[in-house]
Amino acid sequence: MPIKVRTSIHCLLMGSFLFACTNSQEGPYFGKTVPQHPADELWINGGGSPQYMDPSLIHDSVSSQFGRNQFVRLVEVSTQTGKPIPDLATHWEVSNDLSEYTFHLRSDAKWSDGKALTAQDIEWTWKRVLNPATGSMSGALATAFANASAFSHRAIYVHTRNPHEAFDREGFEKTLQSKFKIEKFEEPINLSGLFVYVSDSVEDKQKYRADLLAYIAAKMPHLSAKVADSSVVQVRALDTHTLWVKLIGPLPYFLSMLDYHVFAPVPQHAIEAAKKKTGREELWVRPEHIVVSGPYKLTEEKFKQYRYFEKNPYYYDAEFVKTPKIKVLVLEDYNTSLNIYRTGGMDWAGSNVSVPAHFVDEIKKYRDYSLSPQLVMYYFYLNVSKPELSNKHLRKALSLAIDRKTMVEKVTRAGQIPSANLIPCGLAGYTCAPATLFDPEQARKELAQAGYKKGDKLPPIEIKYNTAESHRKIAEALQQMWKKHLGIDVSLHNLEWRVFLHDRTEGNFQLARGGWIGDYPDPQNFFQLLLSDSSTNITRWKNKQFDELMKLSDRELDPSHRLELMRQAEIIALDESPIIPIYVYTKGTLKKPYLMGHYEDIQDYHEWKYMWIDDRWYNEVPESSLPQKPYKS
Amino acid sequence: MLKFILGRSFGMVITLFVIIFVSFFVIRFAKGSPFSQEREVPPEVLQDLQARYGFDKPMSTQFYNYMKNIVRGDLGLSTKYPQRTVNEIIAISLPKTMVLGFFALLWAVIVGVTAGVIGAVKQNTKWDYSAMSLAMVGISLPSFVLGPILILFFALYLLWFPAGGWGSAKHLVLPAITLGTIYAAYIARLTRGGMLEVIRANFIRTARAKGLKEKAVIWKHAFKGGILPVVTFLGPAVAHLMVGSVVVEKIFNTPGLGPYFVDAAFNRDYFLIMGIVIVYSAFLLVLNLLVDVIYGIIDPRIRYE
Repeated sequence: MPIKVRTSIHCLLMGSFLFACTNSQEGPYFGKTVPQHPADELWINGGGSPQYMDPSLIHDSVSSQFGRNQFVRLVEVSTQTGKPIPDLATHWEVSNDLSEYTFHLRSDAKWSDGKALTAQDIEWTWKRVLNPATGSMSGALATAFANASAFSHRAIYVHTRNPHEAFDREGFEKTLQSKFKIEKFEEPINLSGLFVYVSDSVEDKQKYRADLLAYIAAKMPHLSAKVADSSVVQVRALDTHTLWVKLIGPLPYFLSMLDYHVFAPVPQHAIEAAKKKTGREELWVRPEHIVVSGPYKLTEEKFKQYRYFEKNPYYYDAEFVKTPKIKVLVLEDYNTSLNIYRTGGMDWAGSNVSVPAHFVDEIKKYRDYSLSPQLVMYYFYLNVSKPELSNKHLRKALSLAIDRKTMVEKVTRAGQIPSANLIPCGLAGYTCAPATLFDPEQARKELAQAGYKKGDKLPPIEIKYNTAESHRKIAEALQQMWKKHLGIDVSLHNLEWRVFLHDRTEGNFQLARGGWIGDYPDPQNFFQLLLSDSSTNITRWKNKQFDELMKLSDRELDPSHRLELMRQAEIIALDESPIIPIYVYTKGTLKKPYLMGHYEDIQDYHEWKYMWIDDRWYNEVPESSLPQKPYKS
Repeated sequence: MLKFILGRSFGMVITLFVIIFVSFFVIRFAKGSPFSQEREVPPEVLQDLQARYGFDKPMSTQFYNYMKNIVRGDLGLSTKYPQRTVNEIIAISLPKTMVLGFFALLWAVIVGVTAGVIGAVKQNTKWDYSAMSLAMVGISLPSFVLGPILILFFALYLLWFPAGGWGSAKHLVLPAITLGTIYAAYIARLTRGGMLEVIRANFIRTARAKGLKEKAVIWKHAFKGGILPVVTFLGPAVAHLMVGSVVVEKIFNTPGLGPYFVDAAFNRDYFLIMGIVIVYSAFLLVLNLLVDVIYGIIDPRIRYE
């Protein structure tokens, strides 16, 4: 001990920190390699505190792990092949036009209280997700179902009382448009009649709806009108184990989408029971009320400390779930996580914390560090509605003058993949459109074409980003690169997250930092950021040709031609440059060598059910006797 | 004395009301919404969420409803943790922070007073100089430097204490020292100053002249007078310690109230921010009153008439 103490004091006096003092005595791993808990447990870091545990409501990555590991989806996207494989649905039939699906569910699927999990549960769940009163912020994804959008936007459903009577749509639309503010009319799928979407501010919509309903009731007695309810949505349980859905059109990515936690069935009976008991529906996810369908079930919850999950014996695949108990810690701060990981307080540093750039050089020496590319892009959005950024040549000049390779090697330094493309290339077989990573010569030409010769003064341009060390560094690097290669000055403005989001949503920005995490592994999910009518179109860029190509690709049945159509759309988007991509994110993480079944995953899901502890490490097995883990430097 | 306490309590209620009033509106007028996120929230969903929390009503109605709920002891729902009420969050977090604060205070008082007394009694000796130099270091060393150094030394290197978390007495040691050290340093300096002033007073000379032992002179007579500045300092210090520290609780991942001061504001978790503001102000007001009362008890010169 005295020697140890003396060395420590020496380290402190030398002013050297964490690593300098520990390196010399470290083996090839960062910290302890003997599990500090029984082999039937697993300790992982979940990141921060989850906002939601209800999979229908979850929209952040911290919460999503709890949704995914507790609730089964109809299909699972294989981390190896990226293709959907059966989960709750054993098989399914697809109509020739890819717009109708009939799913056949496992007959042995049960909730964790022993009740059978039926197709009715799924129908109920999906309609609940679509119901705005549920408050699901990811509900927009479910508008893929036919007529779902009408239900979730509270459109008015009008049809003739007598089903044999013809409906004079043209006359009806004209009359209504002359009296009310109408956003759009939409023909329902598989139903007669019409959906009417009223427009105006959200607060006034309610009043307009009432006025419109009253008007129709008074002046058009042959018509029946009501606010569209869940019955219009084309999702139906045909029997207890067969589910039929009709989509708005052929959606080639529909099956991949179903792996998203929002589509996981939730237990109607348990939710209603919890509501009856406590008066608050949202409490059904507490340990005392929760009923799950997946491999694990929440059994103990210590707010802001940890959660215990235990294997659900009713899970249909329970015999293959390897670890009986999972402890998920709540640790947001990476420095603290590193300390606790090092002392053996966790087996895996978790999905939601990434090794910070300034630690990477040191940490990557250890064999328990691994790096994998993610389905996440780092962007800068350009607000094309601002006159100074409406010129595409200027936007292209800005994009071409970014030395992305230097950016990832010198600034972000965590192995990110520089990208001038809008999506991670190769995703789902997609071949990216040609894009130039860095070409200062061409950038200057584009700038001249935009009407700014050397020395010309540009209108003031400002980059907005949310306050974070990493974003600041990138924004500063951009500032310098543009000064160096184009001779232009831009200013930086950092904003607190909520204010930043507010400004970005309101269009109160010129350039704003952004990122997109793929909801499902399909290029469409990234390209939809630029669709004219997309609610996620931050750039305000509208291009008919792009929209048309994307629409065609949605309806295209041949997979390779579909990808080609998207590629053509990307060519247009890159030529217009409303978004400046910088890089594809990577995730650097730490996991103990004894943790098995932890696979590389671009969506960073890492299902717990595959993980287990190799108990040979309790006896400090010489690591040479163990298989080498894939290690990347 | 009773009249004094009653009078002050009335003033406290008014002060608290003013604090609530001002913070309620300041937070509401800050840009940004508790429901904003990367993906745009569908307007119908947003409307329903606003209605659930009552944010759709006029501001004056909201304030009125909020005050009504406060009187009933209901601090509202958290938007960031929809499964929890603000009452629950505070009930879970505050006791942990208070336990940590108590041990930090214990550390601060024991170390601070001891060092201060030594400094005063052995004035201008090597004891005094080293105690006061240490106090100077304690004051200048911010907790975000001291915390990691303690972790490095005691948790990562010697493996004596856990690097963070909650659950056992061992978990408390490092955060309590980190949190308490700066207070210990202040207390040491205040004790020394206070003692030095008293030690030169006539009644001490009288005590010595009476032939009292030095120990009795110091602890029975000088200490009681010398500690007064410390008591003044302890009022707000205890309030600070009891509601937690953002930095220390983050470094050691203590599941207390501290981090909410920042997080709740960043999340625009309106009711949670308000709940914390109320708890903190109430602590501060009550403890200040308590200090004044204690003053009256230990200092015979002060009378509340």
